[in-house]
Amino acid sequence: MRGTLFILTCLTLTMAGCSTTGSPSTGPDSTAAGLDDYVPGPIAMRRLTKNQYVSTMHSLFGADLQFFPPTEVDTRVEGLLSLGANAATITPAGLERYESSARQVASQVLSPDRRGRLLGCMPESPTDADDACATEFVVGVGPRVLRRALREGEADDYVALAREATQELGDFYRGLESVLASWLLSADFLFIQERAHPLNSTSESAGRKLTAETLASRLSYFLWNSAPDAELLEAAFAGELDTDQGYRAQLERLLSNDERLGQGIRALFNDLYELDALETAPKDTSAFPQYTMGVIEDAKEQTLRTVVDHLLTRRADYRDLFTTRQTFMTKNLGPIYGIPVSEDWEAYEFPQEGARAGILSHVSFLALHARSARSSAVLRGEFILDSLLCTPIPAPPANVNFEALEPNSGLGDTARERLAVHRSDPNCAVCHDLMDPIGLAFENFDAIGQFRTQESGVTIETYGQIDETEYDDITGFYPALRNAPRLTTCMVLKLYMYAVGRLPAISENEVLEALEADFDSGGYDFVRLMENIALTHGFRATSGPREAEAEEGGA
Amino acid sequence: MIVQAQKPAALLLIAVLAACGDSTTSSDNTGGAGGTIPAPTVEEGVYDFLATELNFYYPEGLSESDTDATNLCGLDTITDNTTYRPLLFDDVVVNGFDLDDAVSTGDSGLCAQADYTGIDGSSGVDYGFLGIIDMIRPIRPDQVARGVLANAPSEGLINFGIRLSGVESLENDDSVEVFVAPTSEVPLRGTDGRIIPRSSVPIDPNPEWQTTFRGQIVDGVLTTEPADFTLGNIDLIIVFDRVLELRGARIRATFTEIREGVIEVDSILAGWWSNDNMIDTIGDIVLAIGANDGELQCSAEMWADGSSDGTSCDMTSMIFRTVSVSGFLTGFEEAN
Repeated sequence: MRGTLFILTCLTLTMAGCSTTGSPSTGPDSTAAGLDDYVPGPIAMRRLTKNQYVSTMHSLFGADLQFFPPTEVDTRVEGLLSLGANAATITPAGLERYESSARQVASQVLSPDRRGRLLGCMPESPTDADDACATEFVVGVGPRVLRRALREGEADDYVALAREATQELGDFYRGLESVLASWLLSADFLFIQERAHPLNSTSESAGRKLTAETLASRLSYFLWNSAPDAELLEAAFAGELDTDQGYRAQLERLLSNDERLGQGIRALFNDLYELDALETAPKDTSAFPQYTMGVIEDAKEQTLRTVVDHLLTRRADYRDLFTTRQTFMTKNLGPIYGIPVSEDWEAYEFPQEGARAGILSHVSFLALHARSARSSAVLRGEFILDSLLCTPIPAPPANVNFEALEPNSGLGDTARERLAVHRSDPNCAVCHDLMDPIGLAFENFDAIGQFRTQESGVTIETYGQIDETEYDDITGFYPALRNAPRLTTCMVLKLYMYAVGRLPAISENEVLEALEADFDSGGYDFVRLMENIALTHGFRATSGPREAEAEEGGA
Repeated sequence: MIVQAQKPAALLLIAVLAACGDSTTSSDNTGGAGGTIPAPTVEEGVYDFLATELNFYYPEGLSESDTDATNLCGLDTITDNTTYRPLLFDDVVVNGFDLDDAVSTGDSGLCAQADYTGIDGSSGVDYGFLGIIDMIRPIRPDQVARGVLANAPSEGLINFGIRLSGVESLENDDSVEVFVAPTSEVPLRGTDGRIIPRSSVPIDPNPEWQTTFRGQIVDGVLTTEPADFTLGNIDLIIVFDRVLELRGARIRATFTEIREGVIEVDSILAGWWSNDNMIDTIGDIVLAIGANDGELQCSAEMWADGSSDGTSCDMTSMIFRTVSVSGFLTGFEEAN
């Protein structure tokens, strides 16, 4: 069925990146999936990122839930918050906020107008304990919230807690609130806890297989950025995920839900492109009064919509994300792009031969990677190198004179001139020789992403070079980046790390190469890459826990 | 009786034309690759603008005399005008039009009022409403009306757009079409509270509130031929849905590229304002901001310098000043 859909899509949409070399469903064709003679990296214990926390709450209890999001700072590792979550802890102040949120959520979930969504029974008296009804709640809701089966005797403990709280508070539902709040404050909820089978229980492949529950969470957070749904959890509890057939069936189901998969892709790109930082990126409002909150919100959404439309709806070539002229527009964004807009989120195509193409020409990227009142070739170049080409740039020395880069520094009318002076210092040139040629390609866009031809009355030059490809201006940069081999190599690496929640082990180099080869032969179909990653041995197995105390972990 | 100013027309002309910068244009301001200067055209030869300011026209150089005035209308409602000083119109030039093709001296025929000297030194410029401004304190220069009106577009009270079509050059073009219509939405406002240039707004579909002028552009100055002008959707804080009507209206405008892709239009809109429509449109708000009861009616009758029927003086020559910026008008399909 999916193969048929794929062919139809090719015929009707004539997508540029639509490969005829294979179906999007990998199965045995995937080279990467066939490798299982390596020991993958260790299991991870990731604190839910702020986005995952919110997404999980909404998927469990409804999108209309109101609560304070966590205040714990998510840190980036390799450009990904989801990777930084692997080393994240919870501070006392952060725990207080989690507690506050947990109580807010529990109170709403068990309020009279909502409790029916989760609770199929009613207590004999709303003011008295009712163990039978409490048991139904604990057994029905607990595994969804904790993302695992309840252990022996655990349900009784929670029912006892509900009973005691009810007796204390004189309200059955408030008793259940206490139980729910305790779950929402537990490590099982706040962290994506991973467990593996003991070595001796696995098959002939190297490493230790992840437990079915762990696999369910990995899969769900990777593809949907949220907790496993009831069907996935049931499949895990039933042992279906321990079989290749059962696992593939669930993988197929998750991949076929465009809405949820779209949310997962949005989460990935939101993370990779640091789009949440747009809300706090400072801008000089006296210089740019048109840069309103509406612009900020729509700029982020524009990019995410474009990504999902390109990668999921059109199933187009990932590389074309950097050259596509298809996007969406709103009235808020129209003044920044300088174009008429009739309706919010109408499909829009940037003019052919124009300076805008691909998501790097969006306001989101251009405004985020800029200073408050001026563009920044350095920030733009650094992001592309680091996050899109996996070429990290060291932090600048502490004694760098940034004022020399300001337009009024006297060191040149344009950023190109000022950076040339900066690069005359050999210590600076080491990094700037890499960043500047890329970042300067975007100098036709000011601090909020508006197009311009001049800076300080001087015509802006945007020529440069990436790898061995030279370009005359930004319109040459986009295809040069699109065709840079590092672009797809880096995406495979980033997505793999995002999926498994850790850095890859050296032993996983071969599978990364195989994934890239599959990505190439599959026409750079991003969903297919996600599928292939989910089918790797590294995604489904581990070398074991990083800490000794997790050694006995098991389902 | 107003004494016509005679001199500084040249100075004002320079000031106005100084705003006429290089308005070289091209069609792709989303970022053309060819290095051409982008400009906010909707399509080839079409430019849209959104009004950001509207006001009565206050000529440069207005000053107050040092003599006390009397109750010119003789109204019982006027009890305290001891601080009132008549405006001096000496040395004042007016950016307007000779609407009646006559140089009036005040006693030269029916409804005659003394005319003014134009910014180009021409004679016979009509602006009877300046006499009304002189008589009603709240609408005089630097009084409250100036702020109320000036902010009307950004406050969403009076919103209209201007579309120039058939434009080959904003520097010189012997035939352009100027379309003016109210918008059915308020343009976006920036963090400074002002209308954001290049916003998109649909025009109001009511054809009765739309006006089309023919005009030409000479050395960066657009001048239109007369047309009867109607603008609906006018709200002024306490009055709503009023319709402004000017007969034989004309526009003069200059263009300045204030930043890449954004042109500002400084324009005057002159025409004959019937006293009835004047009172219907601004009577209540003028009263609300401090005019005396009956003062506008009395002043309008005193300064009416036009006649709709050739017998009674029931129209006053009027000049509004507006500022507009590049924007985008949408909804023409619905309007048609």
